[in-house]
Amino acid sequence: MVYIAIISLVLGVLCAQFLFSPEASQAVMSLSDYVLGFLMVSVGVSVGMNKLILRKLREYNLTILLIPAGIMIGSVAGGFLSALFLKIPLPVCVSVTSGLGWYSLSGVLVGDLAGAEAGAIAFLSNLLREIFSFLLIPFLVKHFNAFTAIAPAGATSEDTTLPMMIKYTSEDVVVISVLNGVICSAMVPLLINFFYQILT
Amino acid sequence: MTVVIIMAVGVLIGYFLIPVRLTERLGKVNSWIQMVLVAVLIFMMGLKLGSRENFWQELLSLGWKSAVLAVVPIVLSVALVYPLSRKFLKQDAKKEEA
Repeated sequence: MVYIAIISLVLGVLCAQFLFSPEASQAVMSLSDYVLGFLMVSVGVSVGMNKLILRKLREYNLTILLIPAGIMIGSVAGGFLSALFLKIPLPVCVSVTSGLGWYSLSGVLVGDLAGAEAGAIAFLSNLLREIFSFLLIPFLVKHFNAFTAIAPAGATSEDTTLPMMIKYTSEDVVVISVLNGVICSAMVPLLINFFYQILT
Repeated sequence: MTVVIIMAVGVLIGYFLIPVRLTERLGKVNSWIQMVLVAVLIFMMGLKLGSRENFWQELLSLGWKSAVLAVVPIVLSVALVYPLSRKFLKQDAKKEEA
């Protein structure tokens, strides 16, 4: 997925710079709202289909919800903090860090709300978050604890960073990691929209 | 807001209209659809970026800003989840001692 995303981005840039006329680029871009609409239905369907996960969540003590809660609060706070020293508007900073590592969706959503440059920052920064999380998991398991290793991964703890969780932690932590990823993923569009709207 | 409403429609479809026995197969199809749509949208984002006049200069400044916006939330997430997990999620305790 990382490769597909990067290739799409580079192709888009190259097409705009060398291949398409400005009018052609404009025409293609005008379709983006419809594609985004379809994507959001599809994301919703995958959240709604996860009945088994929802049942599992009830089996577990609700205290495991502290992990996604901590991740969301920490990430949003990170956006506020970064806005203090980056020359980026506060709503953009907070909506970028609300991506919780889900670079593809957050890039698209932030881009739709705040323009292509903000979208690119959301994409890059959440992609970096995913890569850093991947590398941090063994370190955090060793020096902190297995639950803390879920924290950087955010919304990616159910898919891309899961192999690392499987390798370095136990089965129950892996289940919690998946639950965390599902919850965080479902929250990403809500957080991005919510914070962008109340802060602008 | 529209985005959230559209997603909620998807959640309802996924929850009520898709039978459990089909979720695995349809889940795969669905994630494939997502991948294609995301690729198309990112391509469009690339188009938007590439249409800007100062694109190449802007790229450099985007890079380090993005890195800051990755590292700061990671640090704060860890800073919150670690004490919470130590206090409330006890099953990990024995592994720590070992």
